[in-house]
Amino acid sequence: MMSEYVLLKNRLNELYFNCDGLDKKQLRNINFYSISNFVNAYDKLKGSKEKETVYNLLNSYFDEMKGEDLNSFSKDQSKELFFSYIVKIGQYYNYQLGFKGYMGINGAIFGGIVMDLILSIFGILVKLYFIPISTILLVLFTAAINHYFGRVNKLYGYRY
Amino acid sequence: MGFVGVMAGSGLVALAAPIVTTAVPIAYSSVINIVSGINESAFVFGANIYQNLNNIRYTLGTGMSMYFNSNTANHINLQKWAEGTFNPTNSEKLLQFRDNYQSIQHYFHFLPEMP
Repeated sequence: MMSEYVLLKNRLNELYFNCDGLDKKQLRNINFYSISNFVNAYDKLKGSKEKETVYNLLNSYFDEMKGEDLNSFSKDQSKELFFSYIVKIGQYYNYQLGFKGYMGINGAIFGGIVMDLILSIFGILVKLYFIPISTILLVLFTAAINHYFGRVNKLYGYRY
Repeated sequence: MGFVGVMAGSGLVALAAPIVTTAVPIAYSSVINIVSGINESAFVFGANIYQNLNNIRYTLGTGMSMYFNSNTANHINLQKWAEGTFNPTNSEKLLQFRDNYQSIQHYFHFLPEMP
């Protein structure tokens, strides 16, 4: 009898085969890299109940992707996948294996600008000669997380 | 003088018309692109905050449930809470929140008014 890990790996390979011809952006639309990282680290998860939940969620993801036209996958569908599967599965991997959330640099810049605006409202940014400290720190932090955790395949998130 | 002025004006209009007809759609599409780009960036940032909040919820719930024996109701409830996720907010829910806030504010006048 095949183990759950092998079954998931087979389903991932099946999805990868269906993704033939898709570029990196389209693969990110279906959260392929997140799912791939989840499947590859599945055997390292502890606790039978947790493993069962993750296995069921991953299987439902693969079932949902089976009938989809991967070439014309919209951003709204991507958002739906994120809320239905990626966040829920990610909790277990974050807690047990130290996975980190992926954020695009555009998100970091937006967050940094919002924080800098708040700092300037409270008059803190004036004392710092209007250097956008939050934006700089958030962008550097995000780039470091994406780089280091991406290299060890411990990254997951929206459109990753 | 007046004749020269009219001629120059019509010449300017003739020159400006094609520039305006090409510039307006370009400007419109770039504004749309910028707005959708900002919208996407806001969602990317919000999605990251959302997933980190859910991770904190899982860690807190699982950590607190460890203080109770595995068969107790407290342990089960905390674990159940930890495994759930926050409901994502949409515009309908925000409007509902606004309505609720305004009805509370009707009784408690010291609360600031919503913009």
